[in-house]
Amino acid sequence: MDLKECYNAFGGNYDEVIGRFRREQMVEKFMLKFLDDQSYQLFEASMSQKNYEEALRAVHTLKGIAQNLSFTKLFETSFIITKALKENDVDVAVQMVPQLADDYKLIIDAVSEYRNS
Amino acid sequence: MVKRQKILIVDDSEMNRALLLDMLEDKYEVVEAENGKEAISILSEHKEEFSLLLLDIMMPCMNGFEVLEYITEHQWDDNFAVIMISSDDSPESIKKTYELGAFDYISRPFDPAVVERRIVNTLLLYTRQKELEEIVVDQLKEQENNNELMISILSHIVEFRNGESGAHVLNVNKITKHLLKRLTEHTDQYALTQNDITLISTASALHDIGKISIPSEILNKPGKLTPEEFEIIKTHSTIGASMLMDLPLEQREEPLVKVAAQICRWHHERYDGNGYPDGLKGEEIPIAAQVVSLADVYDALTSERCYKKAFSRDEALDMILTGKCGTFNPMLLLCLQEVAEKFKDESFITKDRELKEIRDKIDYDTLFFKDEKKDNNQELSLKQRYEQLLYVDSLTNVYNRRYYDECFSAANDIQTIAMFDVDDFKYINDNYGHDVGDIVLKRVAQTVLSNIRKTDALIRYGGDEFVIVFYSMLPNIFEGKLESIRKTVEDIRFEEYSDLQVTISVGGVMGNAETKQLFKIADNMLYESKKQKNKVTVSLID
Repeated sequence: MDLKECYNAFGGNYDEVIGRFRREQMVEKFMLKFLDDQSYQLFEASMSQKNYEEALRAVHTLKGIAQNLSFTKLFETSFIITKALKENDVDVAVQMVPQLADDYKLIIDAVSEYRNS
Repeated sequence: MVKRQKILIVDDSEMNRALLLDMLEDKYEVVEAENGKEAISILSEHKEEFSLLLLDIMMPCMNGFEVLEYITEHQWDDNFAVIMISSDDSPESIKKTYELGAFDYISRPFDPAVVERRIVNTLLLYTRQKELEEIVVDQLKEQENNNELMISILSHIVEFRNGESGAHVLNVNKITKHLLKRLTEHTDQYALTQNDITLISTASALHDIGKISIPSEILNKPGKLTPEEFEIIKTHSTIGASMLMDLPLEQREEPLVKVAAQICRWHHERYDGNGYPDGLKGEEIPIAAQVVSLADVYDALTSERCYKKAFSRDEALDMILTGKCGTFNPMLLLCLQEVAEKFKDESFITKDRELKEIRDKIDYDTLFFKDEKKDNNQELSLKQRYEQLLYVDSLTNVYNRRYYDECFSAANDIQTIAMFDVDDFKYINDNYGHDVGDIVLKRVAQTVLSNIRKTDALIRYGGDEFVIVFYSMLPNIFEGKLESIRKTVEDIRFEEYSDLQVTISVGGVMGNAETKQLFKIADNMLYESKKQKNKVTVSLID
């Protein structure tokens, strides 16, 4: 599996990210780093504790990372949740939680596979 | 090697920090902080080290805006620039960022190359600004130094003519400064700022500038001045002031010139109105003139002069406080007493100890005090009379051979000696008689004396032979000085003997050597001059 295939697997935009980072090395480096990122976990925990302020911060961060690395699908979902929490629309946010989980898992799986190959 | 600039990255997302770190760590030294609080903590200790702050907005504990507010409030942005980086690119956010004083705003996701360029440009701009600031400060300092230097040189020139070595100007400057400082601690009545103090102290260097117009014979007269001569010397205050007021309009409006003119004209006024030239009384006298006047008196008392020896600090204070030198502002007198403590340390006031100690032996009538009674009855003490007999040549009234042998020949800090004798003296004695010969010697001695400074010593070494020991002379004016001495002797006219002309042959030497050696070389030079007569020959040795 090469980097481009990986990106396609989880709904990311390879061309876009390469356009910004220029070097594949850099993209790979940060993509792999994403495995260690705790923003999603923090979001999950905050939501279950109903700590919506913290959740907002977490999902906002997640959104930023996703945008930076062109994890397009993840970005779009995070974007909706961020907007909802900002507008105190908790219901909408809660509704989107499963979708976020799916998008996130997709990335983790694909990147892990990439790493192991 | 150029030191690397330090950048602080503040972002709660490790990913984001890593991204920026990756971009920057090659060229810059990077420090990370996870939130606003950590950032402030780092900055409060190390803010001078940082050139740039990359700040995220969304952070726990203390967000980007709060950090920015804190920084602007404490004016830390003098040290470094702040660039906000955020994915929140709503117009309100951007506006707020700039309102809070950020230098730039970069929205996420960013193009690393673009961000890098913007960071480089920002740093470049900030460094340039700092450099320029430093250059301006340096240049201002240099200009100030040059100004002070010019004034110092000018006043040295004035002093050179009347035999002071330049220490007087420095001392008056220092004393003035201290008096003014102490005065402002006692009272606000004169509204003196630090700038004013500096201005007045600098201007004080010009207080005797009028002396440049006083004839040399009066200025350097070792004896008591006649009333007419005293009147002439008094004019130095008005002459000095008018010299300054003759400057072009823009210049004479300068604060420095105005203050200097005040000081020049009125530094001999006294608080009770008994001073000169205008008889100003009390606070009519500008404070600048009052202070310099007191400083001038104090330094004159504690220094060697051609008409008196130096008094000790305590003697001088006593004389001033008991009104022997005229009346002064009581507040100033208090300041003087308080400040005089500092003067106890000898290194504070430069004194030329070397030859001066020897010259203590000869006392001249005190010219300084306005109190006429004191002047007329000045009696030399027994000791002084005795020393005068020992060391002074009775005919010409200059130092004699014994003085030279005891005081100079063993010294090893003499650098400049000249020797001269009267050409064809035997002929004069034979043809005009010994009486005339005596008159000639007296006249020559007098003339040469009026051409040298009070720090120089004229010695009648033998018959018609004289030695001049110069204190500190510049090599390139030495020969000229001797030339002018030769010329003034040549120009001597005797009323009763119109066809009598006197000339001298002069030999001079300047350099670092034992006095005996210098003496020998001067003698050789004199011998050279003798071949032609009415001539000066000089040798400068290394």
